[in-house]
Amino acid sequence: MFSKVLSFGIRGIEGFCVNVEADISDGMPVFELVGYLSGEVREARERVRTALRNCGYDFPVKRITLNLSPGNIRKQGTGYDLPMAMALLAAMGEIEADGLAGTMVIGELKLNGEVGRIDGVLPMVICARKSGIKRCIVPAGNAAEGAMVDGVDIIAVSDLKQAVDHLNGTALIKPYERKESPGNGTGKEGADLKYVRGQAMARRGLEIAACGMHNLLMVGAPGAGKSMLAKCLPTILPPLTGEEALEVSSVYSVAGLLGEDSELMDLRPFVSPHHTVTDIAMIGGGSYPRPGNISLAHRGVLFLDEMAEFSRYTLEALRQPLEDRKITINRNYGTYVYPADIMLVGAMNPCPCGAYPDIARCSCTETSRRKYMSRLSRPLLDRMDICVDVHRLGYEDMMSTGEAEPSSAVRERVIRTHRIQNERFAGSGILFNSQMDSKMLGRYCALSGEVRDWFAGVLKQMDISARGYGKILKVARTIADIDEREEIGREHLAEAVSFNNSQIMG
Amino acid sequence: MTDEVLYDYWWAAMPRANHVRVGAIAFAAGSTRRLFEAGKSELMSIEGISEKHADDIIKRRSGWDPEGEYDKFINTGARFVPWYSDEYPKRLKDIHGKPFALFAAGSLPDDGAMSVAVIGARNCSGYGRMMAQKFGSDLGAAGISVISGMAYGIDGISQTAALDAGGVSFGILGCGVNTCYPSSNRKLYDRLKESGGVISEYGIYTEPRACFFPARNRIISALSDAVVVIEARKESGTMITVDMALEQGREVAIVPGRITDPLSTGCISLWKQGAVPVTCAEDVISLVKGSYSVSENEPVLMKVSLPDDEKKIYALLEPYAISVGELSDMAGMELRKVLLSLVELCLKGLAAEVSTGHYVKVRECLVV
Repeated sequence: MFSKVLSFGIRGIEGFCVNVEADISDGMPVFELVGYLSGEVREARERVRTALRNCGYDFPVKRITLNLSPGNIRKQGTGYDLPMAMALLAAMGEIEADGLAGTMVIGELKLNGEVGRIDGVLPMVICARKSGIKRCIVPAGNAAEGAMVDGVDIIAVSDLKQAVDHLNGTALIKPYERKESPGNGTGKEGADLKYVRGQAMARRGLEIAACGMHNLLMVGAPGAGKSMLAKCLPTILPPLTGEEALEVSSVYSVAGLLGEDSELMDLRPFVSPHHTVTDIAMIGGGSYPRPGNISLAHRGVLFLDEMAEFSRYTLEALRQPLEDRKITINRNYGTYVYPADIMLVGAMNPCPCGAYPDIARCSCTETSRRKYMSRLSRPLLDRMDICVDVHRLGYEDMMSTGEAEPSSAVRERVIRTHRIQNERFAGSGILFNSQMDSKMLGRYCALSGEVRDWFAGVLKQMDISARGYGKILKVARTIADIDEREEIGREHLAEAVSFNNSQIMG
Repeated sequence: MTDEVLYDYWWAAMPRANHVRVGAIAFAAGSTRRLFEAGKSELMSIEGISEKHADDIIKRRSGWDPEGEYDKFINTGARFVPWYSDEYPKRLKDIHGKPFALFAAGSLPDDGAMSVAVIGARNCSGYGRMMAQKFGSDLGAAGISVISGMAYGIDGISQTAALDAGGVSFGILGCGVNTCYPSSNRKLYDRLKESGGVISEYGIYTEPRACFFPARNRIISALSDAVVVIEARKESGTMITVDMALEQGREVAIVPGRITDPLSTGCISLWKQGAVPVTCAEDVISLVKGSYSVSENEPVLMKVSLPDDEKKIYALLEPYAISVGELSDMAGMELRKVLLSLVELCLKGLAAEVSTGHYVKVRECLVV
């Protein structure tokens, strides 16, 4: 007898539909699995057989064939255990075939019939909704993430028997209900700009970076507060929209980082890998591809503390995804695309000892300082539009008890500036000033005669290259947008010049 | 051209760690041709050649075609000036460990013209930068050759200023003259070849090595009539040059700094030992002419008029780097106004950004 159960697999962070077909016929008693399967899917044979037996079903002494179609896409992971068992039970006549129609089934089986958590349930459910499926049977441990998607009933099961009883209508399980989160999107980590004392330059740099989604480089002595400032960035960036939140949560789901009771992520991610991270861990990959840090920071902030200590190879690997806003990984059994739309924030010391430009304390030679700075390649520095100095606080600042402007106030300006940019770039394929190409620079950053002459003088005096010129214009555009001014003026350019990193590139 | 020069070139360009004794050995041998042709035992009989050294010489001459190599060198446009050449600077002739030969791109200092070395810290302060600019520029304008090491900081700044003032300057390198070290001084390197020259005792393709620099310093001091020290720590390469200068009987002058300043320790200690403090190029000139007296001249400051914001910020700037945040706090001014003023001051050549968000005063002016 033949039966079919609907399931889903994961490719990149997108789900795809998989039909699990079972056939039981007369012949030599064998249990055959086919359908371009990886090792862990093949091992399902033993798990399914044992689980069925331990749940009280007689395993048929017949010729059993299970096929996972389409047969030309590689199937990976342990999520197919449960659908295989269901398909088999349906073919055995233990489950009514009607109950299975329009139902997606996913989950790992344990030998005693319990259903275990798997990775990537969220994108599978998203894909199920797209294919018009109304009901998903998922492991109880994945119920919360499945329920992030509206319009699909999530049936959480903790063992095989429950699933069978539900489908046969003998013991119905109520769809899982999502716990509503407060969802204000701020202060989850306790970071807030109001706790940052002094650092006027860095605060301003942070705000401009957030407004134009410019990549940011912070230079300052150890212990000056670079990490603290960076952590404030998600609190001044606009909260994730519903669509973005699903996207970001999907990445975390695939990476297996969504906890059992997780809520939809509404705060932008802040990912801070250690500087010993490998290039694969950074951009994603591996023989069984997984999203890397850059994808985990999708729609959020990738913070590289001690940026000069990262291996050159790892840093250079960031360049292409910074341009493309996604990562493409090719393997012989498929191509995987992970999103990587990030804001890159780096932090580094101004010199190996950290004291420069305090010449009295700095023990570095000019050469060692330049060598240290040169660990960041020029093409990478070219992608860092804003460079700010974060200096050690004076005692007065440390002792002061007042609170500075809170993140929420800054965030309002950021949201307003984003809106201005979105209107300007409507239909042009980009969203923010930082993404402008040279043609757009000419169109949106035109300078009036007098300002242009003045700016030419500044460029000459400061020995700024053509690349630096473009970066300054983009940042000046953002500053003018914050001021809600159409025309870029001298004060905008002067500020943008001060946030330029030509000093480092020296 | 005699054949001798071919062997002299081989001998001078031969890579080695210590070039100070290159000449002594050549004189002991009688001729470099002998060094090129002698067997090992004969080499070892020459004073100053150890067995290791002899092996090295034999290794270095095997496969060397004297004529071909010399032709190749001539085609690079660089010049080879052995000790007996008419072009060889007279100032070098009587010093201890005089270079056996010099390699030069551009010209060599004029024996008849006054020349002054301006040297100091690589990692200099804004004050050091100001002084290097002032002395370099004034000496250059007065037609005095400015000699220095083309390094970061004081060296490079003073030489650039001398060229900017229309003067001539010579860079003495610790590497071959075809190598620009440090590479970020490329612009200066190219200009020096036009108005002055770059000079070295190492073969033209020699890469810089730490051990070359102290030896190179003896040439800097020897080529100069006086050495002016601007900002030097007590333990520094600059002090080596000063020692050499004293040994060679050159005048040593210092530009005073603040006594609390770590970059002043070298200058202050030299002052105590009898070095002459100078405040302007005229002081240096009179020192060289032997008529040094305490000059009564007050330094003359350029007058500039600045808008109020810039005036306020300029008054707060120091020779030492100060952060924009501090400036903003001290001036009680909004950050963006401070930034605009700073950019304007940089544009006027009064301030400079030395590190991200850190500015120094680079020119002392009378604000009216």
